[in-house]
Amino acid sequence: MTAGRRFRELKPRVRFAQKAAAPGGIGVDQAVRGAEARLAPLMDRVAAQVLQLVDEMLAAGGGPARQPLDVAGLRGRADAVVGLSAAVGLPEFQSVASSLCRLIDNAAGEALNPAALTVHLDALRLFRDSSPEVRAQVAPSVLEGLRRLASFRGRTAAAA
Amino acid sequence: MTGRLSIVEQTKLNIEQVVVVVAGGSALELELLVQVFAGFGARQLKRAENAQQLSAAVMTGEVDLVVIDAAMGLDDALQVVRTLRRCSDDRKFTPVVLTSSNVSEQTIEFARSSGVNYVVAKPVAPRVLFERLVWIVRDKRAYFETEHFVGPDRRTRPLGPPIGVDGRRSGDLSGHLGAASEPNMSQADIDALMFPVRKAL
Repeated sequence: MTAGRRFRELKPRVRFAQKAAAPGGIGVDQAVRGAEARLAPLMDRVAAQVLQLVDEMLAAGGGPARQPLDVAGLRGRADAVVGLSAAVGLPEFQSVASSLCRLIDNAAGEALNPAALTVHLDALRLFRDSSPEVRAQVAPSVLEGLRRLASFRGRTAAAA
Repeated sequence: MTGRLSIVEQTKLNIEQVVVVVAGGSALELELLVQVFAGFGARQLKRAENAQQLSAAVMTGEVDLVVIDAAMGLDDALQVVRTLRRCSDDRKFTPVVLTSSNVSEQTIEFARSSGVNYVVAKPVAPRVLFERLVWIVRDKRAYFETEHFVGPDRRTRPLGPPIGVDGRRSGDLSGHLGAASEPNMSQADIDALMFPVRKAL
């Protein structure tokens, strides 16, 4: 026992667990079916929102060089793309946006590497401008490139 | 062929009377999460768009489950969790699930140290979310209150206290072995333990 320091072990009374144990519950398969039925009517809106967010990211990241980059805005939009795109069958956008979130978070307030940012925006642009068939065809190599970029940046950060 | 059902598949939850607050993220993400919970059967859903609204909601004491999107600002979100965990009543036991688009080790460490129960990577699939709800219901972890931490036990694996540190939990065994209570085993006994042999019965 560590002397002189406050330490208490508590047995939690979790109201959520008590309520959820009430009779009439549903299992995971029924719950997932229920959720999917509720989500279905929203899917068109979600797809449109993803494409709008991508447009906004491309506009924000491709602005005039003298204009300061709105990193927080870019991060917020990328985050939303991660949250929304997989639900509407656009996993390629999710992967790029997810990688961009990590890039921004790892920079921890320092200036973003312009080349790394450009690669992400180019990938988003390519996916946006491609048909689903072409997107599916090129996605593996593009995403592999981003993975290698992240791994390279991770190694150089560790060596620094 | 039907295999054995997992714990999650065996568990049924009734969240009709559960008060859920979902917080953060874009308006549409919030809407998706609300609809997922509605699909699970929840009828009492609250939304919080920012840390102030979240704090106001959880401190009422009416909330049974909190789901926070780290997009609202990780620091702000976790500050609300730390405040909740410092409540003097049962509000401090309210389960908190954090969703994040960047689930780095550092994020998980930070979240757990603030008292978050579970971290879920975005995009949040309904099945994964329901599984975490089952985990919360079946969670047997004690809560700990120390100078710098209040929340569910951060040790999720039974590995005991860190090496060189005396255990503080009631279930921690003493590192002191004490005197032997039985005679030493013979080498043959040890060999029999290490190298089992097949015998015809």
